[in-house]
Amino acid sequence: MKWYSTPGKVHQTWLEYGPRVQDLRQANAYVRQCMSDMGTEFGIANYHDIVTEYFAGSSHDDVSRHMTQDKFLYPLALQVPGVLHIIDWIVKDTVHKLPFWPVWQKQAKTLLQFMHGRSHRQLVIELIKGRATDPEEAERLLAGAKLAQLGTTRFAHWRWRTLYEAVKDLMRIQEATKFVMSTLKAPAKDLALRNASAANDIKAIGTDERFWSGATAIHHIISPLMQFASWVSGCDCHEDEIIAGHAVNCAMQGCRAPRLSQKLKQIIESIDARRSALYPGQFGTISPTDLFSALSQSLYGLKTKFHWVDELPWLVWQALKAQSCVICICSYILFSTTPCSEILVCSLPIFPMVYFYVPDM
Amino acid sequence: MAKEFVARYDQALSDPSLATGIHRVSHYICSTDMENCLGHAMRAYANGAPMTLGLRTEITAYQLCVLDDGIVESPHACVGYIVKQSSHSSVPWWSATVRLDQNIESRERMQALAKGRFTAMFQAWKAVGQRNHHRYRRLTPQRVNTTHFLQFVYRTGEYCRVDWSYLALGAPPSVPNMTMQSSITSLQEVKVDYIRRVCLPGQAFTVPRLTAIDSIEKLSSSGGKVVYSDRPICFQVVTNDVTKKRHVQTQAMSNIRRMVCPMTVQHFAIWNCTHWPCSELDVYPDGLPDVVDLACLTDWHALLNGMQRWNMHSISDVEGCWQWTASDKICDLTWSVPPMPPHICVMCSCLHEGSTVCSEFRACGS
Repeated sequence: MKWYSTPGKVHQTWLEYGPRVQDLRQANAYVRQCMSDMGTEFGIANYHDIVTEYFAGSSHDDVSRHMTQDKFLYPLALQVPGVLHIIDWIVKDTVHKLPFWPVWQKQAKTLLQFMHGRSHRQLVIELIKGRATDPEEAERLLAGAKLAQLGTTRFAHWRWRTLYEAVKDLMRIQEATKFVMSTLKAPAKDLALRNASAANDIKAIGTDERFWSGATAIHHIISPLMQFASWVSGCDCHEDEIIAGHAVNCAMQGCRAPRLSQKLKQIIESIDARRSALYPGQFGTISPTDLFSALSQSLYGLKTKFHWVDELPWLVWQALKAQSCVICICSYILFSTTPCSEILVCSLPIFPMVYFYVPDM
Repeated sequence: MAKEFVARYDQALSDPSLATGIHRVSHYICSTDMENCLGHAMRAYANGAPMTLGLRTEITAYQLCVLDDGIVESPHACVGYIVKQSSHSSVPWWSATVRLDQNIESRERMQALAKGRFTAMFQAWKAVGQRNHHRYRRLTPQRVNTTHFLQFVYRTGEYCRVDWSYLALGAPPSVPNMTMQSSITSLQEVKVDYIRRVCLPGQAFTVPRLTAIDSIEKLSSSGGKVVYSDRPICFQVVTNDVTKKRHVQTQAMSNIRRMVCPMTVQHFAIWNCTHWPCSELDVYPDGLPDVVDLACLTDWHALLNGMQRWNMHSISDVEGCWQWTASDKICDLTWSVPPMPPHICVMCSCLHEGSTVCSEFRACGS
């Protein structure tokens, strides 16, 4: 369906850079990157030039004979798959290698759903305060879980990175939940749930050691990938602030191409080290063999889905040493035919970063 | 790295099988023959000369590629939110609905380009899509009714009924390194089918290792037969769907697509094995998972008769090692017969180069 999406993109470009054919072609020639997920739109970067057909509209009977198939729509563009999409894909495939994943996922969703609501969390806080034998113990459990301030994230299967947040939340509430659930005698009554079966399920999940071991194991195997995702979203000019956890608003966020190869090697080494350091009992009863397979899947995903980073022509990202400080003004250049190179000649490093949205088909 | 870029480009250019698949951007940066390319500047830079302004501009433009696709995906979330808030709204309304800070940001950017541009565009919004160049430059609004104009801009109504399907008929230009999977014979097909049924993801195997070097002494005594090493190849199948996934087309990927039976495997090396064959092995991962052509890993005879499945039990006493215990010899496996006829039975042991898959027999349902 590339043939359906591509005219839409050409139309948007024409609206912004038109009105003549040469204006549109010139605008397309400025494009240096076509980034998308690896679905339908992935092929747009290497699509043939359809500018003539676009201008001819629906009268394609005459045009199809003159299709400029020897030329590209974006003659100087690199086809770049979206890195975060790839990481999503790797996370999905990694956790699917774990035999306990289907059951664990269901259990996690049930517990996260329950602990998401403020009223349920308030109930759990009261149960901890009422049933802890030692007030200091109750204080410690509540301080660790931060139930009053924070809810639990839910994860969606189309955004696998949300799994990490969900797992982190589970680990935060682990001790408090285990304590509360182990003290429940009549779960439905204590948890104020009408559905007794659901209440029993929640109690069973909360006291299931294998469930908590699963959460810790999943956290262990996907955290390097999440570090990578977080790095990709950051920028070189504010590295220290990002590491310190400060919110950064920089026009260069996401511009990590020159150091992608280097970072990728670090992440692969980190995952390989985790794979080599597995030992029995590390995550309770969860078999190291299963974790080994899952980590191997991660390594395979990173190796194959990013194999292009060190190949021609993507090697151009590493051709120039990264500058110590790059000032970039993101600019939507509307109704402008000023080429970015001309702007640069004036020593004003303005790069047009224009994002187009193509409807998902 | 500039030197390496040039070297790799030259290497690809000198190889007739690779030259046709060189990416257009590689030509743009390195070619000295083509027009408007930066080859001379790039080569000078690779040899130590300072970088020219033109080359620096271009390379910096590529380097500033944004890798974070969250930026381009986030508006989808906004659209979802807006649609949920006003379920009867239209496409133009969704697109025009921006938050105040987005409007301010847009205004500031346009003001930086030309003072008053934002206001002018805000007032002359029907100038979008003006086909006359002079009117377009002057931001003269089109004289069309609003509904028609919005349909034109957002490609709705009659504009979304344009049939572009004929574009699919055109073959794409020579996409870099695009090579089709090599055609395989029916004999190879049978072998591949066998390997795919045997080597399932997650399972560990050993196969005899063909050798020509470390058994030269044995070769003389073997009477010209194929010689296998004392140490088998140990691997665990990570995945067998490498080519089913979509990948960026590169030389490495086209090499994989040429493989007869590509699978991603984790190789293992044996630790301290005193005798072979044996029922227990201590093995350790040998590098990272890699894509290999299982059909070419060893010869067919060894694959058929010598392949053994292992249970990847647990961590060994030896640090960094896994303990494998022997399970089934693949040639001894009992295969179940699918319930629906016709069944085709191929005598795998009879398969050798030159034979065809005619030596099959079709069993009836009973």
